[in-house]
Amino acid sequence: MNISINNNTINHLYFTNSYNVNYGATRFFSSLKKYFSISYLKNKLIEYSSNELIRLITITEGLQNLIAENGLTEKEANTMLDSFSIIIKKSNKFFNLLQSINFLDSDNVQQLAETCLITIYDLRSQLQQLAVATAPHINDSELHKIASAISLNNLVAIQQ
Amino acid sequence: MAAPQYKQGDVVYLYNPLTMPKGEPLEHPIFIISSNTSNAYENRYTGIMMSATSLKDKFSFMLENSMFERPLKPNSQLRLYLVFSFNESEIRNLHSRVTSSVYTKIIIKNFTELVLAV
Repeated sequence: MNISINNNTINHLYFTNSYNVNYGATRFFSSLKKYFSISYLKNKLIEYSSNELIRLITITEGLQNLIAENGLTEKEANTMLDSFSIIIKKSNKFFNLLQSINFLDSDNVQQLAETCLITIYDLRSQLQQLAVATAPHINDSELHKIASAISLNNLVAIQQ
Repeated sequence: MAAPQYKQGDVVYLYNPLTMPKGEPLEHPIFIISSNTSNAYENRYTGIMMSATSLKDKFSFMLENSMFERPLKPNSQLRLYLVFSFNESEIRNLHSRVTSSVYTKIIIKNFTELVLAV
């Protein structure tokens, strides 16, 4: 396991959304180091991150079941889908953050983080299918043309 | 055969035989879904067409810039049902790459469930 823990770690994990990031995080981390060993801090941060990921997975799976059991109207699903884009953005940010500070070098955190993200995208897909249940089909003719033209070009190249 | 230059999870632009009415190239990015082993077999790739036209339908997968090393066009989506294969010689350039293989896994999972329905 090669987890880097430094000011940035604390900075990212606790102050990601703070405007007063650098100064606060540096001071906070210096204080923590006075009282706790690096390995203890590292283990605790992994433990907290794992618990947070498990909590997110449980909530997301709960919502999936709730929607599957009770259903949603198309309008409700559309509203939820729009607001869900923020959750997707934040989830990606959280995942990228764990990756950037090498938290994902821990196999357990890696697996939990991936499961968490996959579950969140599953929920989005579930909402999307409900949101477009009776939506009219839209033919993306431009893309069809491009795909056909490239395929044709490819065929000509093969025959030459 | 030379090792493939591109990987699963890459966004590439292909040489496009179509042009706009004024002659400028009509560009469209492709997302490579085929595995690196498959890509290396004959330097042939399988990709999903991307579009920056925002649609809410069953087969469009909304992409986020946070999934990629370089930003995509605003409102970029994958048209999961528009899949085709192409040779490496047809690739003009690499545009971006997923920041983690988990994003490729998510896209392939959606493709498998929605398009292949397995």
